[in-house]
Amino acid sequence: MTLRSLLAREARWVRHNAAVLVLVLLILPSLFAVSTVAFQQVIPRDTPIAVVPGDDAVTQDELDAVRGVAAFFSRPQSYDSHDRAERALTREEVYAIFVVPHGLFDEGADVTIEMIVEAEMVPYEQPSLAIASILSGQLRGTFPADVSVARTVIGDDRTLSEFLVSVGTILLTMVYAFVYLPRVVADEERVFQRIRVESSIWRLLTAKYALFTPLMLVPVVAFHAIATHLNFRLDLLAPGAVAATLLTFVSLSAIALGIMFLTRFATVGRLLNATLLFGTLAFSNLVYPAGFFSPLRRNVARLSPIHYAMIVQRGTALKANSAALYADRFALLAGFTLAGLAFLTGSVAFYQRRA
Amino acid sequence: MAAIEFDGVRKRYGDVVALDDVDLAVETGRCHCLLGPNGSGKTTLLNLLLGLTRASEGRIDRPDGTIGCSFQQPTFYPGLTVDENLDVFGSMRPPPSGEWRGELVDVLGLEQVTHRPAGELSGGWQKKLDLALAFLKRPTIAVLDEPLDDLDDRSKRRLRRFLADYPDADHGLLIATHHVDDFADTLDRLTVLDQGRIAYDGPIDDGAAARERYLDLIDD
Repeated sequence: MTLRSLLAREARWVRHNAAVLVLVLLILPSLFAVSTVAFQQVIPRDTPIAVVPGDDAVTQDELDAVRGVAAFFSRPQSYDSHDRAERALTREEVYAIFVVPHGLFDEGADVTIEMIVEAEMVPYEQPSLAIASILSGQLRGTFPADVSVARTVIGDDRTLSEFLVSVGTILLTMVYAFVYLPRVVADEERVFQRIRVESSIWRLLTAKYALFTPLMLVPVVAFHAIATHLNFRLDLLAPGAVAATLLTFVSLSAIALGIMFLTRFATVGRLLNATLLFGTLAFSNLVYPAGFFSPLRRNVARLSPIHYAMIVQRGTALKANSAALYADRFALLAGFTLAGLAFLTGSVAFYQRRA
Repeated sequence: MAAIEFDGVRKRYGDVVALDDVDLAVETGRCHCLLGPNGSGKTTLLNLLLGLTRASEGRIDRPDGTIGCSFQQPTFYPGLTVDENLDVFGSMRPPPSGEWRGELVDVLGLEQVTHRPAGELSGGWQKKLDLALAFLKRPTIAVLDEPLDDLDDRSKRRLRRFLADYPDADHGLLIATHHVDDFADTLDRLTVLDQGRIAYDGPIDDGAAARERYLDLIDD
């Protein structure tokens, strides 16, 4: 075969794989380029923070003034009680609490704004030091009173390694859901016709989930065993953490499998799943607080159920919070899982109708 | 007795009519041969018959659990051994007896390869496994798509004998093939499909006559 023949064959290959090539060479790079706009700064300037009055004497003007100053480096939200703000802090609705004292407008008064952060939110610990320092500088001269900022760390200290083990469990679960299970089912596509005659694809998928959902506990147990061996202080086997991990697996794998059925197990389906995996990793703020890199990324993360799965897993495994604290998050994850399964059901029905 | 009946069945894929107004009865006690040139609608008819696709119009009576199938492309779990494949599919709808499974393994000569991964077998062995899976539950109607493809002459002879004995009061065969002569001793009913319509459907005495009839219809 001459080079010309081979080049002609390549041209035909391009024609037959046009959709995949467009996805790989055009859409993916474009998405990647577009996604960089979500990374605008390396200090957290848009993270949500809570502003609460220190006591009943604090005026609305004082609260508004602190909110105004805080808006330079965060997205302040008002809370009327300290307890509610702390609940929001541990649920990662906010990443710091600013307790506003009375007397900001009193000439010569000596007042201290307390900045409360959680020790377990390790990636925010160093940035919060910088924020406290910057804020002190900004406040000096802004108010008639002599204002200082005191940073208080609540909760138990955790190392970055402990924090990352918690994150790693969810990351690996996402890889299993988007890559491994779809691959296993795709390998069995050649037997689908017989399965459909002798049984059904629904039963095949039920069997897959009956096997793989409990199997997802194996990597969790492995993570937990190694963490225990390294004397890490986290409990990945806490019921809430396990439930969040398994719901993540079922929901994401249902979406990934749905895509495989919709694309009839073509390469383009695998690429779409890879794109979704990287998109979810990049935009769910699994490691850094929402708003760390840009307001856009914060807004996207707040729409991602996986962002909340991570918060629940971290809250129950790393912070030892009760699962009940995240009842609404569990409801969201359960709803997302049902939606994923409904998508899978529709995709399988479409696949069978087009067979 | 009719085990499967098509009544005015039409199947469309978009604007393309793959099958048009098909009336057909597949009966027990018979070896029913389905013939047709490429693109005549045979695969669509088999898919409808197996419940793999739905009719656009018309009615198909297909009692559940009475059909076994052997596909043109052998279909099994390639990572499992021959024995494991028989176990897995046997457990979905159990064979009538262990003796029946043994008989199938013997007729098809599969005892030599029972412990080998099915995906590593040659084309002929894979076809035999596919046939074994088709007959495993001793179906009322066994639907076979080119059942002799890839088989050596000795295996073809054994399989033809087995097929000749299979139809009885409770069991029947539907064979889709281009090689009607191969079933000269077995077939007793012929359906010829052409351009999605039934060109001929009726009893026939022998394979040679069937072939003549088929060629006449197609040439016309």
